[in-house]
Amino acid sequence: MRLSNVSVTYRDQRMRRSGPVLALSDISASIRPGEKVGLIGANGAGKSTLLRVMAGILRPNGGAIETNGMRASLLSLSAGFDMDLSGVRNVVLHGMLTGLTPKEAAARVPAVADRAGLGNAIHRRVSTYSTGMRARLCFWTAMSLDADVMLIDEVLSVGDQEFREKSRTAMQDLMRGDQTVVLASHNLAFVGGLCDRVIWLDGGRVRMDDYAEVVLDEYRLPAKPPPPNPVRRTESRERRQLFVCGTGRSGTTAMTRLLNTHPDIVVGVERFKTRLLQADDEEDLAVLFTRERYFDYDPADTNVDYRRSYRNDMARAARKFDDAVYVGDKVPNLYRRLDFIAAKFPDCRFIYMLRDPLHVAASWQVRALDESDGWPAENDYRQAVADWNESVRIALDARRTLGDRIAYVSYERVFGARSWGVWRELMRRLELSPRASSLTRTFMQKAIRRGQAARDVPDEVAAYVERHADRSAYGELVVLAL
Amino acid sequence: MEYFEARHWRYVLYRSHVNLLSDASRYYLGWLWWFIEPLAMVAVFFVVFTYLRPRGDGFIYFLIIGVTMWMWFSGSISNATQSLAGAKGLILQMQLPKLLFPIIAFATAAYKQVFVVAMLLVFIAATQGVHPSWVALPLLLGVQILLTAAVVPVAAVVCVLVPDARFIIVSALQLTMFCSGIFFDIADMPERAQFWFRLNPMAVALEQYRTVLLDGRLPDLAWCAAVAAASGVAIVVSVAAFKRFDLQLTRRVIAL
Repeated sequence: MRLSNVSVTYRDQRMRRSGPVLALSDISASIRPGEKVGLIGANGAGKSTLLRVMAGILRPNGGAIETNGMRASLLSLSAGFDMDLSGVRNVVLHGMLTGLTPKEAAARVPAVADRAGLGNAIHRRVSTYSTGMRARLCFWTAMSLDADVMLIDEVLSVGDQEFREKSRTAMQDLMRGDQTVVLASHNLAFVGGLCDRVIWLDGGRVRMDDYAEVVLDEYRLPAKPPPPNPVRRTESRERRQLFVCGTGRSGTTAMTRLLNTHPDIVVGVERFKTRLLQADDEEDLAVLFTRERYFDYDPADTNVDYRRSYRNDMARAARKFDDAVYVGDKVPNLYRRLDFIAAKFPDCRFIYMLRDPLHVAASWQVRALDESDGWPAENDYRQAVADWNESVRIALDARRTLGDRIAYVSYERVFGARSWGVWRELMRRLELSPRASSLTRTFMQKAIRRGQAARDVPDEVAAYVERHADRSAYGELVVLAL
Repeated sequence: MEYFEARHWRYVLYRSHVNLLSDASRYYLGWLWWFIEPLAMVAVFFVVFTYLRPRGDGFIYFLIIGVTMWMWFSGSISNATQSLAGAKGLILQMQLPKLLFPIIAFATAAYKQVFVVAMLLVFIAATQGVHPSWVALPLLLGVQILLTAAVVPVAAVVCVLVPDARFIIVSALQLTMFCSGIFFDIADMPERAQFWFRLNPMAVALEQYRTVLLDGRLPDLAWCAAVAAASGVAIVVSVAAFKRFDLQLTRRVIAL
């Protein structure tokens, strides 16, 4: 579904002097099949109007919307029930409007009554229901319908504890499924926990559209920036560089994003990839991590289009930069130049990601087979194992030369059962406060979920890894790892 | 995508059925009110007008036909005035053709009228006997259906565009009732007045019903054809207008 420059105005017919109300202004966004998108913003920001536009109920005054034949269904707690009719009739009528025959619609009644906990009350007129009963009937009626796109308008804030828990579980199931979901809510924890992406509406405009954790972090900031703090970075805490590396597909990006949830850390995503990998002894690398240089893009720095891909990350980085204790970069292959970098930045720290070779190889293979991916086809599972073996050997050697400056982190632990233990230990090593913000929590939960959803390893890949991966060296490292 | 799909027609059928059931379940006397209400009006007119001037034996039949057929027409229109505003919740919830709601208003009244007409025919047949001219009754009912269907969507839309119009429409219905020859015979009026009275199609329709049901004569076919044709044109125009301005109408309903 794609919206381009959509705007909607309302006009109060009887109050001509009031002028038109701009409900949405110049909204552009596209929603891919299967995506779970959160919609946040203050009351009156245009969330409900945007959902109605997506559902085809309202046509924008300006701009266009393409739905590609997807059928969207709006779920809200004002389902347009007829108070004079029984719950049964309302469920049937609602179903018929979506295209069911009376028989098909009637077949859904028992399930709805059961899930809504209405029992025999389903035969009573809706006007005799309590607010909670009405909400439950509404919620489960809408949930019983099939639609390609579910548009959900703030349905979680009402009802008793039991309803909230049940509806929450139902929503979680929905979010795990294949359906496309757009969820408007004021419950930020819920949006953060369920959505991959969040659109922040403000006064009818898109204020931000990015990864959930990035937008939510920004949204939670006070509306006005605090007065500039005259006391800059405390002199006692000297600034250091921090580098994240490890075989590709070992969770270096996830680790970087996790680190960036900390107020004292700014780590780029391959911000200076080319420079760090190709610099010679003459080059002054320390200048890269000054404010002037860090935010001044040079095409020779990296092959990542920073202005496009990481605009929001960079904006956040810019805010934290002056006070950050660690600034640095993530470049997977930097492990090949550990000694060089360590010499260039005598005070720097390294985080070295370790991941089970089965999943590294499987992940490389998936990307090598995907033709739409920029990943080179020759970087398949065999190449993955070769790189992985190399990185493990280097990591073992580095322990002797770098000592405490390098921290090994096991992907399986940090994005698995031991997440908070690893986080605390890592912060201790970096001499930072281990207090996790809500942003860190949200990010961690999601990373853990993604980690658990790791794909199956094809037999061919598993057999190859079994024969060629150097598991004894890896075992030695994992013992050392956080 | 079609403006009006099969599911919408199914919904109209089921909805008007449900509306009648809920109408019946709302009162202690239930569906009996469908008959009591027109009969009460008949009783009032009968008492008042026979008291003013003694009438012939046939006056009660004359009155009962006029009242029942008129109440069908006026009931459809007054349902229609509320139809879109009353469906605001649903309109905000789903993408639906707005014509659905006036059609439901129309269908609910028509459905109810099936029972009323049946009762009326049984009553007249039992007391006055059946005329061969009754075969023309479906033609007259058809003309009234078309006429009603032509007015209903207009009334529905006008009440959204100008909410105050509801009061005007209700008053106009009241006025038209007194001009439709429910309790007097237009043929008794002076020649010149008759012309003006007969510009009101409902007045002529009531005359025609009586011609067919009581006098045993066939209706004025030319008049039937003219009203049917004019209504048909009006229906085509309003369906096209609903189709064309559907989304604008949504915005107006939301702003109500």
